[in-house]
Amino acid sequence: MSVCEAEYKVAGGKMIRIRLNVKEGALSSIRITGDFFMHPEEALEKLESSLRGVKVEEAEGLERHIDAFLSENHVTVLGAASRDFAAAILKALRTPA
Amino acid sequence: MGVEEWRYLDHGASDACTNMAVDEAVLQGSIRGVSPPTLRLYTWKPSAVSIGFFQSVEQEVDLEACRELGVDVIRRITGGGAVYHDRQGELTYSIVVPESWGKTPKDFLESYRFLCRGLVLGLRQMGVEAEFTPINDITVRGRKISGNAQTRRSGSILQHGTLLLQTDIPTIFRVLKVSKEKLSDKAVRAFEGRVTTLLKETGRKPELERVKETLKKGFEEALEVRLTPGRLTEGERAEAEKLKRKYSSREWTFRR
Repeated sequence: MSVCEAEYKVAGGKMIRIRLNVKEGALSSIRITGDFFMHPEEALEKLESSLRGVKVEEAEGLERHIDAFLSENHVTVLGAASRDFAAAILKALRTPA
Repeated sequence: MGVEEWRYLDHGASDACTNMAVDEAVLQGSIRGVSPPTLRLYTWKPSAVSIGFFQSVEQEVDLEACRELGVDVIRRITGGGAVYHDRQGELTYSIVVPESWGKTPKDFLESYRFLCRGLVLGLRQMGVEAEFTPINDITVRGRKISGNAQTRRSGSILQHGTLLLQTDIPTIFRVLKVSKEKLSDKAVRAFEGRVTTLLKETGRKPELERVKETLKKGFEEALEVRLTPGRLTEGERAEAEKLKRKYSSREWTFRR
């Protein structure tokens, strides 16, 4: 198992931080933190759960995954977009802690 | 038709748990339909760091420095960034209003702009050229003087925010990890370039009571309501006491 971390600065000023574990080629856990806004707030934990099991080799599909999650769950994000969360996760995957 | 009345809570200084518990208790009351639309003004004693709901306490806060300085650390129910609420140098407001009031824009960004307007008008009354700067700041010539954060639950809105009266920059740099690694003169100057205070903008030491009175008027004008001094209800007090247990728990503070 490997632990990865990254900080990703969103254009406009907000910060996304990622800490994740990779096990057998897939995300086994992920923590997304930062100073963005997400409504309803409980959605972030659900998003994290939904990312568990995503295969690292399919990581380029992350933006679509996050987009679909946000629209299906009627989630509004301020200060970051799906592509920022996806970019932050990709950055973490390239940055073992 | 007379002017609509809102409740005004002039709350003075409390500890971090009480402050956040009271904001949430009023929100709960609003959701249940038993609390009136409310503007609350308050300060923090002891000084405290509040972090956004999605932030990690270890990433944002130097807990050891906070312990040494006697600074409280608390997680908010609202998103956004970490704020140092200086006991002497900062004023916080909160607004609670049901969405059914109808005047608050549904769009989040527009609702920040709308609810921040009371602060903007109050600041302008004090001669400060304040303006709303998306997403959630109020700035003066590009420098931040206020940060704001909002949540919506079951049809009610809570927005709270901070107004910098005078900053204690050395303490900010000790308690927050932001730019901590670069505790250089350069970092301090860069910070000073991004942030301003009422003291800097007006050139005189802000008198808290006068500032509060001016902001109250600003909110009355912006929201087109009359703010009538009131108190927490028994129900809100009881709810706040319960919520204080959540806010003081390790589980809550360290959940991220």
